[in-house]
Amino acid sequence: MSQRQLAMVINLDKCIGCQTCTVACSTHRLNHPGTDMLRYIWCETKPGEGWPKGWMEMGRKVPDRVRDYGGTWTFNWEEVYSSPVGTKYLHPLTKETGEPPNWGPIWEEDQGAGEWPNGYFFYMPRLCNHCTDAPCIAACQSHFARGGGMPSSQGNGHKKSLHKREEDGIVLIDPSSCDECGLCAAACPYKIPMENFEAGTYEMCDFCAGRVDNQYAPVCAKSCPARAMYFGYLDDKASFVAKLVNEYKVALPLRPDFDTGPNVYYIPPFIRPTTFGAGNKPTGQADIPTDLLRKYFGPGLDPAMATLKEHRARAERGEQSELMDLLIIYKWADAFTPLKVEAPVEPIEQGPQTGKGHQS
Amino acid sequence: MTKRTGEENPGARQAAAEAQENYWQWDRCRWGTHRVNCYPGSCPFRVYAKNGKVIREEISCTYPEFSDPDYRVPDYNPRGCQKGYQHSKAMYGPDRLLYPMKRKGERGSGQWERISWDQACDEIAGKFADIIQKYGPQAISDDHGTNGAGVLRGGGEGASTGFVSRLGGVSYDLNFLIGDFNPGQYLTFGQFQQAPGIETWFLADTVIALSNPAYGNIPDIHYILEARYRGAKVVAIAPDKNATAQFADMWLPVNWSADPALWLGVCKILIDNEWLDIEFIKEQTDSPVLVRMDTQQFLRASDLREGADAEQFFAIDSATGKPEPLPKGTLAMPFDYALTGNWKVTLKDQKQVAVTTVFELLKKRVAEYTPEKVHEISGIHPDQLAQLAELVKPPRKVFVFVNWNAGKLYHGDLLERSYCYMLALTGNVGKAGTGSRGWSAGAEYIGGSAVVGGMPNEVLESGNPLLHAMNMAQKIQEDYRTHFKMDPTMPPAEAALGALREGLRNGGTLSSPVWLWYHHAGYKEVWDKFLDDPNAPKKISQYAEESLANGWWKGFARPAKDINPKGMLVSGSNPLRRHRGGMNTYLKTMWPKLELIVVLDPRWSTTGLYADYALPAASFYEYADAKYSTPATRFSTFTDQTVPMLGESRSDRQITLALLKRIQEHLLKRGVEKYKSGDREIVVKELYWRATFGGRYGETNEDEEMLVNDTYNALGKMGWFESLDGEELTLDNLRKNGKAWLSGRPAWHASVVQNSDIVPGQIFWPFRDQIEQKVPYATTTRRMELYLDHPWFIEADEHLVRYKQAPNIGGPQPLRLTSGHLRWSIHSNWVASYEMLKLHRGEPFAFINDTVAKEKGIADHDYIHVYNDYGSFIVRAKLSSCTRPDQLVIYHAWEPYQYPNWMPYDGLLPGPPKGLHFAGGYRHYEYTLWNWSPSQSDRQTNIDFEKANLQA
Repeated sequence: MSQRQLAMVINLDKCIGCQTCTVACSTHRLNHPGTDMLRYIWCETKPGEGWPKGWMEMGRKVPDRVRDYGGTWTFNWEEVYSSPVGTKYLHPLTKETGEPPNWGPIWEEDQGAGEWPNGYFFYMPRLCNHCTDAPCIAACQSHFARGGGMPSSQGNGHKKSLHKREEDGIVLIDPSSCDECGLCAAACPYKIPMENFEAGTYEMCDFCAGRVDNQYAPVCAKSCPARAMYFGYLDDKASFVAKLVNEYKVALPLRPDFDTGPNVYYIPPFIRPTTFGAGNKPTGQADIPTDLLRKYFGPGLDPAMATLKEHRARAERGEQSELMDLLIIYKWADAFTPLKVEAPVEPIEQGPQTGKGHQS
Repeated sequence: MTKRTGEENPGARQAAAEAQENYWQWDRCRWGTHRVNCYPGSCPFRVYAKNGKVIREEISCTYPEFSDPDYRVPDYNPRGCQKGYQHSKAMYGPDRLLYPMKRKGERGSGQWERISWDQACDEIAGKFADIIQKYGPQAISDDHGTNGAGVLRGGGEGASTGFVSRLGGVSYDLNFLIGDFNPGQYLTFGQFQQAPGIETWFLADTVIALSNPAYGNIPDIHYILEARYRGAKVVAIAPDKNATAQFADMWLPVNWSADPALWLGVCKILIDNEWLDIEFIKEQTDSPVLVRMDTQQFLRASDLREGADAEQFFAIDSATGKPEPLPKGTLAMPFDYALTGNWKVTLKDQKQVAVTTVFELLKKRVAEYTPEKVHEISGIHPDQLAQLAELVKPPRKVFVFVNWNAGKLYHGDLLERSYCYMLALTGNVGKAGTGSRGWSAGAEYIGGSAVVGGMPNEVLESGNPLLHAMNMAQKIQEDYRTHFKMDPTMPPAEAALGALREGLRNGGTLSSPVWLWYHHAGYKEVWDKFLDDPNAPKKISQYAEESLANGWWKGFARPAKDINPKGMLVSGSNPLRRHRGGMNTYLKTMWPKLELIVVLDPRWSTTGLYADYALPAASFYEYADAKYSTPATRFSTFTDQTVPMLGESRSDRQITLALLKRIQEHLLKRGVEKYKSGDREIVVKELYWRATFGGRYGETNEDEEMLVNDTYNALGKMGWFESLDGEELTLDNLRKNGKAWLSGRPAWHASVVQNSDIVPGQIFWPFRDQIEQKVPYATTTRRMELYLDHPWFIEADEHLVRYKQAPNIGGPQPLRLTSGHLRWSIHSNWVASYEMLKLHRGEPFAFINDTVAKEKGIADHDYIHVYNDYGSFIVRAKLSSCTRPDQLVIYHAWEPYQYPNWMPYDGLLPGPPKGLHFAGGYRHYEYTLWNWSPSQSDRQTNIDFEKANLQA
């Protein structure tokens, strides 16, 4: 366990599935070779198999590059633009198979479950949970202990590529010493570490450690147009994340039964339309089955839902609720204190302590 | 674990290791935004470049907090979305057009030849000159679109309209090309461009979402979601359970076009329970206005006395029971108006007729809509109807969120008028957090309009033409009534629209595209053939011909029936995708007529691939310009030149100026010194001189930056914009702050119709003048019109709202096609970029109901063949239980070249307008720019589908 812990809260009652987090991350973090189909964050439609396909039930398997991730998509722009009109149309093919893809990071958008008119879905961004007891680190360490890994260009002298930073709990992969063994991906029940086949390394979200080192908030969270994301230190009682996670206990870890101590927390979708009976008679029952949410968010779900609903009822009566104000976020920057949400303007000289994720 | 070999690249490992270090290195950071016509936009990004290449952009999060003393609302940060966030990659993408290209071989052969700008301009200008000489200037038109909505240097309004206007050609009204009109709000308020600040949605007690802001309003929807945490209820009304409905307290799965029945049912409950804002109903609406029972028209002074005012209306004084004239210049009530009752009045011929009030008639109309009948028509259970009525009961503040669905739905006017009834009965207009919305934009165009319109020579020769143009606009606004000999009691909104109408009528350039479709593009026959509306008294062509014969389109029906379009400049637009039936009727009919098709675009569009010339327009980070402002956000956002224009691309304005210069040379060489466009004389040697403001703003980057500087500086001097820091508004100031504040009341029709002052830092909503100053509305009765007494509406039994069954469009097929904005593009901009393609399945898809799919033997991701009598297309199926069983949802705007055979869904949309919308000759039922014209419908076109056997 690190001295401090950074945490992210994602309000699923607000997330609209727009993938701005996904694209902001891609624009900022996925510009090096081999990252065409890599994601550090992406947003799934739930319920659904997710990405990689069926990750929640995958156990200790390493996801398959084509079957589970959908392969690397290529498109035929040049052919379309240089052929007679109407003859060739733009469509994806999987580089690995030459066939049209049948899975991908956002394959199940807006499909959901249920039966008309009682279908339903909600969105869930996924990224590294920066777990308190990260099984990926233990797996990496055992690999190094057995003689795996490579010497690190970062000169850390540690016997692993994966580590957790003492000062903020960020879990990092050192790409220079990773030898692509895949044990981290096998160990992670959330199936977050992803292989960069070109670089020969595993990669994943690092909470924008380099930005954090320079007091800038992670680019995904600060860019969320639905204002559904928060970021801050859990031991800072005034931070929005601490209030939501520890004080009101309405932000919950995903699949706490995986027992890894995730530090990404989700506020469950709690304002929902009702289902209908015969003749479209409204039943008054929320459309998402509570059992599904309990499966995702564990025993904290029921008290969290009760708290959220009670505070909203207060607001409806015209009473003050700090919790509802936390969900509103009157001033966007407040959700990230002490980190900054403004974009940097001046380039920053990289000293030895910044940008590389210094070692603990 | 097995190590994958053979793929590794040592450089890639190195790059992965160094990525974090390189992250902080850039040599240029500038403001940037994306001048696509997304509404309201206004997303200030920072753009970073290194060694002359853009490396990324980031949402700047620099909007100030509101400083309104009366209202606490969340700030605008972070404004932006995923589309803007990948432009740094898309701008270098494979669909980017970098050099002037000329087709080799036949149109659409796919064979292109790169040519020089000199050759391109010379050849194109020669051909335009040929067309002017052979067919006259009105054979030239532009199709300016939405991909480069730059105020001054980019896109349609500044560059392409100016080009066509200078030549005396025809420029089509963009709003009716795309169909973003709110017909029912227009009929009720006499205007549709009321645009409350997005922050006021937060202040509603009930938000009713009739569109899908989770897709179409990504940076704005948080105000609706956050309103729920202040205790507001959100209601979604939609045939399918779309993404927005997932966040609602209530979703009403309403049957096709049945919304009017639903709202009339709600109004019945409101009236039965007396849940009404009586004061508002009397003062602000036409409810007390007397209607003659014999003609069903309003009682007018001219009915009572020979020669009296035909627009003087009456109400009953409840104290005396006598009809008294309603004041025309104010909403303030000189006496108490009776709302209900029946009376007799004596006409000028001594005949006695029965009269009653609009409210009495409305009460009778809504009485038909019992909960049981509403259930039968709309599918909405009486319990839910009762819940909905409770949620709009006074004094709850109700905001109806719409985008521009209604303008694309055949009975969209009835849909909008029906919820306006609810707003009227409950007094939900003109207060923060109430009302509904249209779009408004472009106070900046007052400067640009100087290019489009004429400027006196002496102003061009000396002085500041931009400031002159703005002062002129201001003066016309101030003197509108005398300038155009208008009624002195006319309210400002109506006068602004009237002044614009008369100015444009004389300008001789603008036309609604309805006449292009009807007379030239083959739609007259298509509409009559593929619309089956048993409830319409006449065919579309009968309405259209009668409307023309009545002179209702004087000066606005272009090109004339006998002038065939021959040359078209397509600027940042994609007409083959956008016209309903674009790859069907439009391509088949228009393309053979056109001798010259020039496309000007930063990227390869389908239309570009079908063109004669494709000219590279520069993109958003490549020159300094601003995105238009709107009252909805009240900022003009600046985008700077972070890198030089890519390849040989140029600003849209530079391209059209270069063409104009060459056309002038060609014509003079051929001895053409003057020619006529209608009554207007075009002096050839002045073409370029006028377009460059007397040579002041030429084609160089420096000249164009000066144009931006001088325009904003003049806007600042007029008090219509303010800098963020109190300094003088200049290009340097925009470079510093990235944005400027819209302020006051710019003399621009779309600003004037707000009927409210814009105060920087404060929240904003329209119609405050009506509530606080009793300023009348821009309608015939000067009130919100719940009753329409235009004879066509009476004939069609739509003088009061009623439910009308949706017509059969496209054939008798049993299912309905619906659409809306795709999440992954702004129109077709970015739709083919790699980053966006990876956010879905990489190709067009249509949502169909999962149970129906199983019955038809269709599995998820199968290709399906979708068809009606008019056309067909092939698309991937995506199964969902949130899609209605009798529905297919396909979002736009995929490029036609993303579909097999390049046939998009638009190919089966015949797009009939509603015939009643040809109504004219009657106050606000008259066309002017962006206002009141028929436009193509597409929602609820009839279709069926089956599994297609197609291998990719």
